[in-house]
Amino acid sequence: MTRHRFYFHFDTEIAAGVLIEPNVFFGPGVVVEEGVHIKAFSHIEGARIGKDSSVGPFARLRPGADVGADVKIGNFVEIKKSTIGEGSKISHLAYVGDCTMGKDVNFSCGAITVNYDGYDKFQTVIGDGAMVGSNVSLVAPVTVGEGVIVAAGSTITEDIESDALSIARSKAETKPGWAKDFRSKKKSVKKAS
Amino acid sequence: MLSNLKNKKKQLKKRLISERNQRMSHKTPLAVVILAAGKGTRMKSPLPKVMHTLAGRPMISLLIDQVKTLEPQKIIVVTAPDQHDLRELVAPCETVIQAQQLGTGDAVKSALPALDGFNGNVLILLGDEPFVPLNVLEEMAAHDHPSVMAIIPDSPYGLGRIVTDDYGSLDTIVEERDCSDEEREILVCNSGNFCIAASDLNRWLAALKNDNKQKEYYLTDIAKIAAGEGKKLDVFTIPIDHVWGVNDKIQLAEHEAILQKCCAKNLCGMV
Repeated sequence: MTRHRFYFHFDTEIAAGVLIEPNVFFGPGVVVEEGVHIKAFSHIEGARIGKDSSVGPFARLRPGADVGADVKIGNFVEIKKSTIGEGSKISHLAYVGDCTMGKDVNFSCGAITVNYDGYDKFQTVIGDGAMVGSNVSLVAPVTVGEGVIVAAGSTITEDIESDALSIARSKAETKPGWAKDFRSKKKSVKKAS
Repeated sequence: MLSNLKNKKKQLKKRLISERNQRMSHKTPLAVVILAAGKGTRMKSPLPKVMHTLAGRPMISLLIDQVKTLEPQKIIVVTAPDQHDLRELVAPCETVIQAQQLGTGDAVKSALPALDGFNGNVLILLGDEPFVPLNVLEEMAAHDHPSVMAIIPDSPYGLGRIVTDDYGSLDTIVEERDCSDEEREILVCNSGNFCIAASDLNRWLAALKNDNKQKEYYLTDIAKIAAGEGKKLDVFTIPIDHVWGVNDKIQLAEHEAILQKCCAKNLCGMV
């Protein structure tokens, strides 16, 4: 018996010039367009992958993932019921669900859409050219305008107008020498006991 | 020179298509009966055997989709009384219910009411073997004698043997447990697929007896009945290089592996 290096569903459609690395699973309803590169250990079902995009390694495209052309979906990225516009990048460790993402968006490492309140699902809209920083939570329903920059670590709960910067986190504060003092205090207490 | 060749090729293509159309227009009407009522005890699963999936599609659907290319007038699926999901799955194909599991002969008998008034060839297929060679089925369907598909597998273990006369027509089908030592050496086995004119089928099924240990009606006994009428079945023999039929999960996995290879070849444009 041969071991499968891929698993294809009977209706899997793959265009010419596609490169599929080992251990990729195709569930029902997958369409892969020309020039796509699917890297190892990706799990894909009910998704379209547009021309010249790259997916994986270790990516998961769930039903309703509509990935445009020239998109990069990197490792440990999960996409569900979302449209990803041409040229956008979701390079690592992200969850995108119930989202309409424009063109050339950068959805950074660890950013997620917060789409579920335990009862209902809500939509996130991200405009063209937006830069969503690392570890951002976009609490849906929310709209991020075109060209917006969302500062890393922000939790966004309201719409952002185009070309704005949005920061939603406590301000960083640095206290010089504080750590050293803290350590020496702790050490002296330990010696005395 | 080149355009001359192209023209010749075009003409040949045209001729072949018109010949094919002619053949098709004179085609005997065809009905397909698919035996699917088996419980599949060895699958160790509550799912009816033929609903187990290959490349994500129930194997009965795979078989039906293939058979449809033969353009039969009707496809009748024989089901067990409790297989509601199966009947729903194969709709709009016609379904009949085999009340009790009394053998393959009985299963085909239960499809006869659905064939009432049908005048043509009846192709009998097994729902648990979706990898039937379509070209052979097409030949059998167009053949004006009753026929059986015989296979030469890697190992004949567990399959009925095809015993032919000097002219290559079918004498009998001997189940493995009833084989003499000599018969056991036969490598040509019964695939379980038959093509028989509806009128003959009616008569031969009525003549089936269940005078065996299992008290079942075996479809294979029609070989003897037909021979008794001097209407021997013709044998269409094909070599196969995989296990015949899905009876357990290992065989399902073997079929899956073959299909995955086909999918990959298909996607690479090699088929």
